[in-house]
Amino acid sequence: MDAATILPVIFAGLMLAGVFFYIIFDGYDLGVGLLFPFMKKREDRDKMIATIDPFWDANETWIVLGIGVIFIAFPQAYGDILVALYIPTVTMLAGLILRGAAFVLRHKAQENHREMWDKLFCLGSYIATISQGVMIGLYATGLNHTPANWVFALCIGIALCFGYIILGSAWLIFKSEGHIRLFATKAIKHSIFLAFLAIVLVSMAMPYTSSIIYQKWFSMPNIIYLSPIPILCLILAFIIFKNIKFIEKDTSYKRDWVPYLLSVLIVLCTFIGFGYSMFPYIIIDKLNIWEASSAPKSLEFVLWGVVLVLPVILLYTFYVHKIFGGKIVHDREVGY
Amino acid sequence: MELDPIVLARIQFAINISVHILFPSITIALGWILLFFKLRYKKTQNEQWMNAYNFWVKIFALSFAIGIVTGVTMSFQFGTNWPGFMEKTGNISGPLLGYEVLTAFFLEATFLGVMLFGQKRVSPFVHNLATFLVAAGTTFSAFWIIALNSWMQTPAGYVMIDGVVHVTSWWEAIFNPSFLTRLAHMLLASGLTATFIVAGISAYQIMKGDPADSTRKSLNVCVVAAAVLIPLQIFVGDMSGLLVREHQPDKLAAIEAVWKTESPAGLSLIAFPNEKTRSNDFDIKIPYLGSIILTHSLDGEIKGLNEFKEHPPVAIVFWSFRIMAGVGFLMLLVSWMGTAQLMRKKEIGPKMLKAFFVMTFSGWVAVLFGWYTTEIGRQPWMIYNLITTAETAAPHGVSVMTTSLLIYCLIYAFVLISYFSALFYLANRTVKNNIALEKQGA
Repeated sequence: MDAATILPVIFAGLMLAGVFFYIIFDGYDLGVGLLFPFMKKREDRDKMIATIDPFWDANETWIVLGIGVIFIAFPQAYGDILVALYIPTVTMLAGLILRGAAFVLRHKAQENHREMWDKLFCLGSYIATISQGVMIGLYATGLNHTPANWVFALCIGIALCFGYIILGSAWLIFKSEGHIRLFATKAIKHSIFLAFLAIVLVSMAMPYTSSIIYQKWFSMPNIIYLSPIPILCLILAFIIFKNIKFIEKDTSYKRDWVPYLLSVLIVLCTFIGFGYSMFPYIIIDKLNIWEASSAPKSLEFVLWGVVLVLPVILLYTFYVHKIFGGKIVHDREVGY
Repeated sequence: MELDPIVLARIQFAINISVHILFPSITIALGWILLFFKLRYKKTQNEQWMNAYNFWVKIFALSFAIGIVTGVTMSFQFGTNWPGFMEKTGNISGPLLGYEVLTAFFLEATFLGVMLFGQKRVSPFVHNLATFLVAAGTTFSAFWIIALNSWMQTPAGYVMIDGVVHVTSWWEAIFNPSFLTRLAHMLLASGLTATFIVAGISAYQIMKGDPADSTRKSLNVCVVAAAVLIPLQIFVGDMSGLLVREHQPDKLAAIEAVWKTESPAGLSLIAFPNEKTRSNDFDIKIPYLGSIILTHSLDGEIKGLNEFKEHPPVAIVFWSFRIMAGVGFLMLLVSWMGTAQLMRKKEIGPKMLKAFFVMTFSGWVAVLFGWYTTEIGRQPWMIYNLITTAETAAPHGVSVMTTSLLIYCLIYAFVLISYFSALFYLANRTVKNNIALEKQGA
C-alpha cells in the first residue's frame, strides 16, 4: 500500500482517538457539571470541583486535537461538517465558554456572585453536552437536516447527558470520599439504566434515519461478528452495577477506580462500533477518507510530530494524573 | 458595507479573535514573569516574591482559562465560517495548527494543573519546572500560530495545484519572509501587555493603600521590564514596516493613506482618507519623513493606492496603525519616566502611579489595533495575492449569522465584564489582606 492509501486510515484512527480521549476526559468534568443540580450545598459542589481542578484545562484541550485532526487530515470534510453543524456548534461553544468562565470564576469572583457561577457552570455543561450529542446525531445521519434526523439528534443529546453523568459519577467515586462518593454511587445506578434505555431507543430509531448504518449492523453475517460489542457493553455495565454494591458497603474499599475504568471501556466499545459504522466514510455516504484527505506530504509531516510527540503527551498526562493520584480533598490552601 | 453573510462572518470572526487575543497576549509573557518571581524567591528566600507569585498566578489562571475557551471557539470557527480556508490551504495550515496542538497546547494545559494545584504535592524544583513548561508552552503556541498568520501574509514554500495549496518546502513555509519579525513583534507585544497590566494593577493597589512590599516589587520589576522592551519593540516595528513595504505595498499605502505614488514621500500624521474622492480630506504631512522611516533614505519611493486594482479599506487601516503607534510612544514615555524616577528616588511616586494605572490596558489597545492594521490591511485577501476572503466564506444565511453573532456578542460581553470585575475584586481583596496583615504585625 502506498502513502496516499494508508495515511488517511492512520489519521482516521487518530481522529477517533482524539475524540475518544476528549470524551473520557472532558466527559467526566462535564458530568460533574451535569450533577450540580443534585447537590444542594455549596461546600459539596466545591468538593466535586476539587476533583477536576488540576485536570480541567488539559481535558478541554483534547477537543482541539479531535477537531484538529479533522482539519489537518481531512480539510475538505472539516468545512463541510462544521458548516452543516453550524447551529449546534455555536451553542456548544457558547456552553463551553460559559462553563469555562464559570469554572474559574466560581472561586475567584465576589462572594455574592458565586451561586450564579455555579448555576452557569451547570447550565453551560448541559448546553455543551446536549449540543455535542446533537452534533454526533446529525453527523451519524449524514448531515441531512430533516425533522426526523433532528429528533434523533436531540435524543442522542439527552442520551449523551446520561453517558457523561456515568463518567462523572464514576470519576467522583474514584476521586472523592464520604457522602460525595456515596451520592455518586446512586447517580451511576440511575444513569446506567437511563443510558441503556436511551441506547435501545436510539437503536430502534436508527433504521428510520440511516439505512446505511442499519444495513451494516443488522445484516447477516455482520450481526454475528458485531454482537460482541453490545454484549460486552452490557457485561461491563453489569459489573459496574455489582461493583457499586461493594463500594456502598465498604468506605475503605480499595477498588474505587473500577467503575471509571469500566465506563471508559464502554466508551471504547461504542467508539469501535462508531468507527466501524462510519468507515471508510468521513461524511456517511458522501465523502470517504481518501477523497477528503490532505496531500500525503502534509500528512507525513504531521505524522512525524504525532509519532514523536503524542507518546510524550500521554506520558506527561499520566505523570500529572499520578501527581494528583488518589482521593482529592478540597483544600482552599492548595489551589489558586 | 451592507449586511451580507460574508461581512457578518468577518465581524463574527473578528470579534472572536479580538476577544481571544487579549488573553494569550497576557499569558505568554505573564508565564515568564511568574517564573521570574519564583526564581527570585528561590535565590533570595524573600517571602514577598512568593506573595507576588501567589497573587499573579490567580490572574494567570483566570486569563489562561478564558484564553482556552475562546481559543477552542476559534478552532471551530475556521470551519463554521471559513470552510474554504481549510479546503484550499489545509495542506499548510493544517500541519502548522497541528503542531501547535501537539507541542504547545497540551504542554501548557497539562502542567498548568501542577502549577496551580501541585504546590504541596511536588518538590519546589518540579513546581518551578512546571511553571517553566507552562511559559514555554504558551511561547511555542505563539510560534506556530504566528507562523501560520505570517504565511497568510507572505506565503512561501508552496505551489498551487487545481486551486489547492501544496507545500514544496516546510522550512520556507514556516520561516516565510515576515515570520521572525512578526514573531518578535508579537512576543514583545505580549511582554508589554503583561508588564503594563502588572504595573497598572500594582499601581492601583498601592493607590488603595497596599503596604505590601510584594506589590512594590511587582510594580518595579514590570516598569523596568517595560522600559527595556519598548525600544526593542519600536525597532522591530520599524523592521516590520520595511517588510510590509517590500511584500505588501498596498497595505503600506493604506497605512500611510498614500493615494498616488510618491517619491520622496511625506508622512501623514493626521488625515481623513476618503475612498470616494480617492484622496485625503484633511492632511497634516511632514515632507521626506515617509521616505526616511519607510525606506531609510531621503527620497525613497512609496507606492500609492493608485497602483493596485483592489486594496484594503484605507481609513480604518490608517487610523488603527496610528492608534497602535501612538499607544506605543505613550508606553515609551511612561515607562522611561517611571524607570528614571525609580533610579533617582528608588520609588515610583503618586503621579507616576496614576499614569501607570491609566496605562494598565494600553498593551491590549496596541495589540488589538496592531492586529487590525495587519489583518484588515491584508484584505481583500485571505492569503495575500493568492486567495480572497470571499472565496473561503461559508454559505450561511443572514438570519443564522445575525443570531449567532448576537449569541457570541452577549457571551463575550458577559465574560469580559466578569473578567474585569474579578480582576479588580482580587486586587482589592489582596490589598485588604495586606493591610490586615500589617496591622497584625504592628
